[in-house]
Amino acid sequence: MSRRDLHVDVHHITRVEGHGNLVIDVDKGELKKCELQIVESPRYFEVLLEGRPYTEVHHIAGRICGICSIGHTLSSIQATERAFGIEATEQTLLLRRLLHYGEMIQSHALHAFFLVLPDLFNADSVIPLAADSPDLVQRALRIKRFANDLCAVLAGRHIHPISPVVGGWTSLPDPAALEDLARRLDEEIRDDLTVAVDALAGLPLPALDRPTENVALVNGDRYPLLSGEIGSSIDPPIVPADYLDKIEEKVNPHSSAKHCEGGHGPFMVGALSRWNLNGDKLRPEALAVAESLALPRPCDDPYRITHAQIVEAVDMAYDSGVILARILDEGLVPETVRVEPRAGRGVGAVEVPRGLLIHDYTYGDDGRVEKANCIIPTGMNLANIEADLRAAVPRLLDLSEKRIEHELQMLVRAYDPCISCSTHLLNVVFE
Amino acid sequence: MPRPRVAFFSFTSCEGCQLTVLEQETKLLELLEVVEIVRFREAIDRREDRFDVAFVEGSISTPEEEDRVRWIRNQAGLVVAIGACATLGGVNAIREDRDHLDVQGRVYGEKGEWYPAHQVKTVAEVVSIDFELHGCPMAGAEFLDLVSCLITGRKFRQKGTSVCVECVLRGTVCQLWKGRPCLGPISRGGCQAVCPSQGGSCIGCRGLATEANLPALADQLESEGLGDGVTERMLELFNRKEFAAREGGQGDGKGDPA
Repeated sequence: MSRRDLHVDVHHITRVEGHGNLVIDVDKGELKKCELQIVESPRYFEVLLEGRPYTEVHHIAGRICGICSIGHTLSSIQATERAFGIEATEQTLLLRRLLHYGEMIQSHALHAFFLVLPDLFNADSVIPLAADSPDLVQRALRIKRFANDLCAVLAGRHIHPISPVVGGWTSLPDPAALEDLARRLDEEIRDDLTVAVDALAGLPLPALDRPTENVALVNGDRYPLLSGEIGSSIDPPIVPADYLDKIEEKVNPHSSAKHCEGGHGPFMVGALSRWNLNGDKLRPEALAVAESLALPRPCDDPYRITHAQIVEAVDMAYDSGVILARILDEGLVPETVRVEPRAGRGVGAVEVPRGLLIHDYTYGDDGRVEKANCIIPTGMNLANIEADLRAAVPRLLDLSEKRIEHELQMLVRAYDPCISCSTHLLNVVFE
Repeated sequence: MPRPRVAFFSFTSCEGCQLTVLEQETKLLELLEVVEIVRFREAIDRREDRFDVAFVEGSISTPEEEDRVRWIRNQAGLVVAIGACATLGGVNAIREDRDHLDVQGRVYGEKGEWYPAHQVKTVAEVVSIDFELHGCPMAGAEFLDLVSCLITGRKFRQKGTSVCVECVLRGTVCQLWKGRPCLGPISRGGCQAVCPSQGGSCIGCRGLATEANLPALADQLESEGLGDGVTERMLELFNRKEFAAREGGQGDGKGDPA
């Protein structure tokens, strides 16, 4: 190993959501400091939720994050419904799944094609790519547009959705708009995905092999996203309400986002963990894409998170087609579900683009939140990212400083960290 | 004519307004033909220190953020506050009346002093601003309209009328008629009444309309049995600061841009 000195100080990593710094110190070949500093301002969301009535809670919770506001909204609604003992109808659950697909596809497309792809072309952003590879960028934009429109048709808009509420929906989607989405999926989006996958398949990623514990929802539905237990590559699954037995949050001086550790040290959540635990439940079209991207299962290389996201995006696009056809065939009926608040605790656990997301609320009998806690995927991944950085640095020491900095930023970016989200962590203490 | 050099900055927020820019997919490439983006951490590496227009998202909620937004004001020709966090304080200001030590302790426990809570400010409370784009998130169409105005010199006009007017124009069934509390009568329009059109109530994310009559709405909601104080409670979601200022009889002091 090289005996060199190295000092990396990236003040605000670019092409990630939120404000993070990367600080690495190597003294004569020995790693002295390796920190992903989270410098986003805290927002104290649990305080914002305290005392609010259930009708407002998902509106506030969704505003933790613009990119995954639908995921936060659905996790929030699930927590409230579980606290009140409400069973959502089959139609409501089907529409929620379709809405969730829209956000997942949009977020994965944003990450793969707009944040990661420039690295693979040695570009500083997608802007030069638009000139050099206009067809690819146009197709990527069309995929993102489709996913946003899917959200807008179902929920009024993608960022801060309007119609999903506790108990169901305030409005049902317009059949003509659904038909248009189904047509675009058939005529354009499947081809666009094929071309985009082919482009990615030809671009080599850096590599890092560091086995870690994978955590994701298991059981439940087809490829578990909105139901199931919290599964692990090491431990038996646990019910969502017991998440505190598994996940320990720690306050860390260099991060306004809390770090999380499981029983075996740092662990990973997100698309790669879902792929590792549930990949066999994906559609054949998605498995074919995994093969063309040469994505092994299980896979211990965090740089491949982007590939796992693309495999998921293909799965969800094809499954969206199945759901759209079913809705158009069977029609939708207005439903009224009676919402009666009651005192109690409910824990929502859903898979959002960056991994497992938990909202945990305790309500009073007046339907107002007494206590809230959220565990955010990026918060869970922070300790694992630092462990990856510590493993990666010694192997990179023979490269130029600029190249080392570039590869480490790519490693952080691979996790698609959502730093705004992760600093909105809520309180740790539960009686 | 050289393209205006445009920069994007985010403070305490969900970054949903910046994402709204990225979600103008079909217009994005056209936008890049008329402006030069010289700083946008969420999407590009380029990071320049002089810019003609700075779009600023988020509330200013730490002393460091105050310093940073003052620097931005100094480097920029025009400063545009985008979204409810920047223009109203937004959901960040729900905690306005809570004790800061209590707030930080609730979230970070005994390590609370590492993350001191401060007063949440709008951008305009710290530096002078040239334009505001309202909403949570801001409306993409209004953002594109402002950019177009800045390039062509056309005057940028915003709605001072209420969300109710837009519901009527769209033919949306009134939430109040359905017996649901709604802030539409007193909230600034310009959103095309997107929430009522989806069967939801207006929650006032664009601030108060010019002629907002709070007592009249409060009386109506209470007389219809929708709950005492429901108007005030709903206004806390986005308008805690402005509502408190009006209660104190100070007005918001900004007037209406139209």
